[in-house]
Amino acid sequence: MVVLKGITKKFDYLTAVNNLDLEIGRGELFGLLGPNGAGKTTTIGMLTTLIKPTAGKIYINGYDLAKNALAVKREIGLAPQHLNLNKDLTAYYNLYFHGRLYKMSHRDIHRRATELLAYVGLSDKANVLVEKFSGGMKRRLLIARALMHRPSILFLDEPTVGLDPQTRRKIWDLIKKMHQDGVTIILTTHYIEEAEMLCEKVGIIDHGHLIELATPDQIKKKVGEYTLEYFDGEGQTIRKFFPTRALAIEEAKQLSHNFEIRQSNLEDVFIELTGHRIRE
Amino acid sequence: MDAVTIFWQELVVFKRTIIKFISSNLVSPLLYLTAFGWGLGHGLKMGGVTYLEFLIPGIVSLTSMGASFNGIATNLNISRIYFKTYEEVQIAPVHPLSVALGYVFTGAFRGLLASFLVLVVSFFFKVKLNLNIWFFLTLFLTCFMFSGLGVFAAMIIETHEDLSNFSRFVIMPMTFLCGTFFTTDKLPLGVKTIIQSLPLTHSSRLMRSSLLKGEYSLLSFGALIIYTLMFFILAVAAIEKRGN
Repeated sequence: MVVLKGITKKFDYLTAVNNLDLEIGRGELFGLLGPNGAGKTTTIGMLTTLIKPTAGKIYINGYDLAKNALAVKREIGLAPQHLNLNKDLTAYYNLYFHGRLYKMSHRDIHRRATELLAYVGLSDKANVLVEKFSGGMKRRLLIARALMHRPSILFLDEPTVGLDPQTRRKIWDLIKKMHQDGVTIILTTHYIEEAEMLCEKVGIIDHGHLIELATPDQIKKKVGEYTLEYFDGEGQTIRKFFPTRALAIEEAKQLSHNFEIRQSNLEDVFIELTGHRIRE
Repeated sequence: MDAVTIFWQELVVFKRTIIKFISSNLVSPLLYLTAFGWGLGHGLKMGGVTYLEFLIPGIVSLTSMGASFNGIATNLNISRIYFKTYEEVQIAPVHPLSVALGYVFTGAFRGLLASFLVLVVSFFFKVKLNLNIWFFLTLFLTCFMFSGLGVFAAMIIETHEDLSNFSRFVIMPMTFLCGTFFTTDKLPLGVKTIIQSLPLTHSSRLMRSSLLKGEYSLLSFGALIIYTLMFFILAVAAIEKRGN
C-alpha cells in the first residue's frame, strides 16, 4: 500500500508538486494522468527515493520512506521514462547485475532472468547487446529489469512514450498481465487512452495539484457521460456534457452547426477541470 | 559484496573499451618520455640522477592521478547526468559505502593499469628502476586517492563542462607543478609551501625515492593516507546526498 500525506516538492521558486494526498491499495493499477510538466515524474521520483520531498510523508507497505529508505527500496521496482539500461551489456547481463544489487543468488538470478526474458518476449535476445535493441525492446527489457527482484510495487513512468501504436499495445498487454499476476502498478501517462484502457483508478494532476481522483467511469460521470461537441460561429470548439445521450441529442437539435455526440473521455474531463488540453 | 557487483559490472563494460584505453593512455607518457626524456634527458642532471631517471617516477605518478580521476569521474558523471544509468544503483538497497568502494576501486583499477603501461614503456628507455613494495603501496594509494576525488567530483558536479573545468583547475596544475617534471626545492617559499602540501607532490616524492633510492618518507606516506581517507569520505558523503 502506498500513502502520500501532504507531499510537496519545490525546486527553487517552482513548486513541482503541491500538497499531494493519495492512497493506492495493494494490487491496484493506478494511473497518474497529466500533461508534461504537471509533476508526475517528480512524484514518481519521490516515491522511488530518487528525489527528497520538501514536505510531507510517504509510507510504502507500512514503511516511512524518510526513516527506512532501504526497506522501501526492496519493495519497489522502477521502469523510468528514460531508457537507462546499460547499452554496453547484453540483455541478460543487465538483469544479472540488477539481481546482484538486490542480493539475489546466482541460481535465482539465472532462473528469474530466463523467466522474465520469456515474459517480455526477449528470450532470443538474451545475449544481444542492448545498444542493438529497438525502443520497444528496450522498454520491455526495462520492465523486466524492474520486476527482477520481485517488487510488490512497480512504478512505470510514461511506459509507452515514443513507441509506435503496435508496440504500445504490446506494452499494455504486458502491464495487464503483470496486474493479473498481483503486482501493484503505479504508472504515469499523458495518453488519455492509456489511462482509460489500463487504470482502475486515475489521479488527474496539473501544475503539481491533484485535481481529480476516482475510477475513469466515476470521473466521466462527474462531468457527464456524453459530450456534445461543435464549432461555434467563430471557429471555437464548444463542449457540453450530458448524463444521457437523449439529453445531448435534444440540445443538438437546436444547433445550426455541425456537431458530434460521443462518450466523454478523460481529456474532456481534463479540459473541463483545467480549461486546457492535456497535450498543450 | 555490493561493491564487488558494481566493480565487476564496470569491469565487464571496460573490457569492451580496453584497446582504446590502452592506446589513449600510452600517448601522453610516450610523448613526455620522448620529448623530455630522450630530448633533454641524457644531457641534464636533476636531484643527482639523469633527467630521464628523475622524470619516470613523475610520469608514473601523474599518469596514476589522471587515469584514476578521469577513469571514474567522466564515466560516472555521464552515467549520472546523460545516460542516467546511475539511477539503478541509486534506487537499489545498497549502502553508500559499498557504492563508493565499487566506483573508487573501478577508477583505481584503471589508474593502476595505465601506470603499469608507463612502467612497461619506461623499460624500453633502459632506466633502472627499483620496483619494491613501497612503490606499489604508493601507487595503489595514489590511484585510490584520486579515484575517490573523481567519484566525489562526479557526484557533486552538475554538467560535463563543469567537470572538465574541475579537471582543468585542480588536476592539470598538479600534473605540472607537483614535482613531476622538476624538483620543487628551488621554488619561492610561498609557492613551495602550497605545492608541497598538494597530494600529488607527496605521491611523486614517494615514488621517486622508492623507485630510485629504495627510500621512503613517513611524512609523505602519512599525508597520502590522510588525503586518501578525506577524498573517500567526501565521495561517500556525496553518494549519500544523492539518495543512496
